[in-house]
Amino acid sequence: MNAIEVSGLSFGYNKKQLVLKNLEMRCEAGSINVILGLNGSGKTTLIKILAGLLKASTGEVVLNGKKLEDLSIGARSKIMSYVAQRSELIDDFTVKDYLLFGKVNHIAFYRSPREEDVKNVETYAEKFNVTRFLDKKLGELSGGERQIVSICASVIQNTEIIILDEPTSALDIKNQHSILSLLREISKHENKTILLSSHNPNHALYLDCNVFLMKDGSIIENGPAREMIAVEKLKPIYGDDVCLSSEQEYSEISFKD
Amino acid sequence: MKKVLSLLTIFLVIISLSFVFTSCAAKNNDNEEIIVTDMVGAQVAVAKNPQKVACVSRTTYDLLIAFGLGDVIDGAYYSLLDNEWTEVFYPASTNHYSYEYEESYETFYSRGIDLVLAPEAYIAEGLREHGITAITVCLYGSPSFDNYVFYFADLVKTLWGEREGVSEKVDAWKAYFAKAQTDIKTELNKHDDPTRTLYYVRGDKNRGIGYTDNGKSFVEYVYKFIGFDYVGNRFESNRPSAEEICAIDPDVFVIGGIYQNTLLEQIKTTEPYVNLDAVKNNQVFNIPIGFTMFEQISVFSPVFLYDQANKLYPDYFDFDVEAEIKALSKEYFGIDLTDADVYNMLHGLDRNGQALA
Amino acid sequence: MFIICCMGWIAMDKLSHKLSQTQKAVIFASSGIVVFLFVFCTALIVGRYSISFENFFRMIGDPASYPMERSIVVNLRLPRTIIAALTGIALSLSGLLYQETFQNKLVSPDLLGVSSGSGVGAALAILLGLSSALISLFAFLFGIITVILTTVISKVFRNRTSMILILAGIIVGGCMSAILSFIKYLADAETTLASITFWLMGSFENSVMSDVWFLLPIVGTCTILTLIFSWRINIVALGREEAQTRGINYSVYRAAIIAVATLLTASSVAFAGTISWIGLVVPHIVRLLVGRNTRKTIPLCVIFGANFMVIADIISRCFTAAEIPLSAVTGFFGTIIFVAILFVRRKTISERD
Repeated sequence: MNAIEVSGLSFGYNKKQLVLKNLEMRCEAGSINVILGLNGSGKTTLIKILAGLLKASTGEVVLNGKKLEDLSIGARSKIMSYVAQRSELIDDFTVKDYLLFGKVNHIAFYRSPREEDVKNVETYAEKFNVTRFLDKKLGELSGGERQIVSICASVIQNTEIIILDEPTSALDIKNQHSILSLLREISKHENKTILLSSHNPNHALYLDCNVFLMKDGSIIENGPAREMIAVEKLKPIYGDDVCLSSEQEYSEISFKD
Repeated sequence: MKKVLSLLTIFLVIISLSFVFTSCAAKNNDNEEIIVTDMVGAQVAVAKNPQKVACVSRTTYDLLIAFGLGDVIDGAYYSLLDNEWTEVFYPASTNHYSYEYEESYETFYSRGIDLVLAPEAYIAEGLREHGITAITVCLYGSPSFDNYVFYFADLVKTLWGEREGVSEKVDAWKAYFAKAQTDIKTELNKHDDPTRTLYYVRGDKNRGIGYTDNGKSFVEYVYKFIGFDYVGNRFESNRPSAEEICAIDPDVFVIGGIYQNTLLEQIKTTEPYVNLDAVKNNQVFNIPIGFTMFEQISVFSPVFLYDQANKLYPDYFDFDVEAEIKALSKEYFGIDLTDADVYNMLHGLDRNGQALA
Repeated sequence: MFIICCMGWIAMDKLSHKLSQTQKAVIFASSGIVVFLFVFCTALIVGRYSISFENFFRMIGDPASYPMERSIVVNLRLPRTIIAALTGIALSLSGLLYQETFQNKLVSPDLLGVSSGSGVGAALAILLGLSSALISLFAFLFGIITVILTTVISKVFRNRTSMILILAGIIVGGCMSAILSFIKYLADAETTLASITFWLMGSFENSVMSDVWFLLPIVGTCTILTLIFSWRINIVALGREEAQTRGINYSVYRAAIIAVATLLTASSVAFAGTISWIGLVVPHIVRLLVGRNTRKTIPLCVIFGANFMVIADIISRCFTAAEIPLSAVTGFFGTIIFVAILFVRRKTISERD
């Protein structure tokens, strides 16, 4: 069964220029999916439409068999969670408070989190290895730690689908690696559908996942990373200079001098 | 070099022209000037016999008219002209210009005013800085009002004394006032009563019972004269709180101004004032209003003394206040008031017997 | 006494590093309530009319024998103290709500033009010569109309960001100030202008019990509502994207919060005039003490706001003959406490505090 189905999706910030053109995509339940594309190819717009933050001009998005437009904000938040790019607005909250916000759609509107909710959050914090900064403010954390906390909050939200907008941007290579391996872990152990955008093809190779190649608002190719991360497939996106170095563990994409 | 020369010439021309203009302005005052000291001590040169006077200060209008100088008045403070009684005493007041408290300087220029009687020092200073002759005639004296009771009457004599009848009228009024003082003092000296406390409610604005006058005024002068401890000067501000008034619990309340009837009702019906001794003992009195509020120095100041003496010492005095009002109106304004008019004045009402505000 | 309390709070804050934020909040709240009870009684006993402790308690036992004392406590001090407490709650709470919703800590309760709108309403009512109850009603309604106008104008721009709403607030607020100036110009300098100016300065001097019966239900309901939703307001503070994906209907919540905050501000301005600073200072103090979590800051804002305002009222009426304008007291003491807390906490304050 497909967790995410997109058909005939178009979107434009104004009427003259379409950012997304008649876009089609399907993500299997329990899979990891990466949208690869250059800056400005429409990745973030697509992610925001899937997360319900923008409304498509035409076309349809179906999450777990339910039309996105028919879902209320509450119902949607029980199917899909979203990890945004770095937001300054969360800086003042402590990690513990922030993780508890992930529970909001499981707590009746008139109630505050109870002791059992706090316990639950602490268990997750343990799992994600963030216990040591539970009482720190998010603003005091490093970029990598922040991202882990954000992902942890999404997992706490307990949805089948997790959508991430460039989770590795603004991180150093070590942290990029730890985020990606974290996502792989989550996908394996929690059985969640993960969709993330990235502009680095190596991430797709590392995750060994389903890849969507995106260019000028359309998906131009779609398939497993092993097939997609090939010079002839990537050329339309990255240009003729792209090259592939195949070594021991996995291939590395780079550019000819 | 030529450029420098031509610049220099232009510069010189401008400077000499400005001198010419200033000297012209100075030459305008060619009639006789005298130096007057105003109520705040400023020395001002004023030409004698001003022919166009602006009475922005409230205490000057009725006295000027009473002393026969109605024709030199160009206009008056608007609230004086809004008072319906003004027209009764001086029908020609309808032709007078209505001034704001801080009237624009240009108005005085365009109306060709010789002298502005300003209500406050800063207003007079502003006017003088802009080349308008102005003196301060205010409601307060320093250190007390004692030396200023006849200030304006004497000023009128100084400025217009040569005009026929003015000096005589001023002297007659001063004598009238002095007689009222003697009448009261002689009787009071016969008795040795304990001093009672008195609180004055300023009712010219609707600010409730907690609005008074902190002294150095004619009000304080008069009540001290008739033997009262004027408590208004104990407060740091003219807006004492209800608690402070209750803490003093004055023996007598007097209420003046256009809101006096509202305030009389208020003090008798609202908590906590109803618990005051003065209210329980019925020691709350009003101050009449006519051309002006009586507690402000005016033609009717002698009657103010008589009226308050009657009310505050009912056992000692029984002056015929109605007759005094009629006599003063006849003598100084040439009008005959009806009994109804006098009644309304004494009760702080308008001509039709309605509350003034 | 007041200074001692503050010092106590600060000292406790300093000593309590080992306690968790929640424990701290509980301690602050409970001590705040105790202090409030004390402050409230003090407010009834002290004043320019001196009532001894002895007489005060005798008066409670036997009101008939002490008519003046009873009258002063019941008619002057009780209503103004209750109104001061309610206003303090209303202004600090609405300040906090606005600050959280607009993610801007420098926002004050009159952000959307409430105060200037209420000013226009009151001035208009005074100009028309209406009774004091109607003046309050006019002020209240105009405050709310102004905010509605602000939201309508922000809708015209078809941009849903908070910035547009703030800009619209500045525009409408400016327009209202202009109208207010014009009404003042029309007013009679001798009579109505003085009343308008006095009204705008803000005071509890003319508070009566009937004002309490109007203010109490509004402030009470709004406070209870905010307390119920106190935890969820955090999520609104995260911004539209995060709130929506977490399952909160951001637009509805934001509209509701603005409505509640506006009601609170408009009702307090209607009865006490414009009182500056408190809506800015109290939320800041509270955040500095227990961190940014509305579940803790909202209850503390209620307690601290009431305390702060009653104390400010005592100061405004007890030490000088003429009442010191409330804004002067709140501004002055607000700054002092603020500086004190900042000084104590100077090492632990980060860029975004």
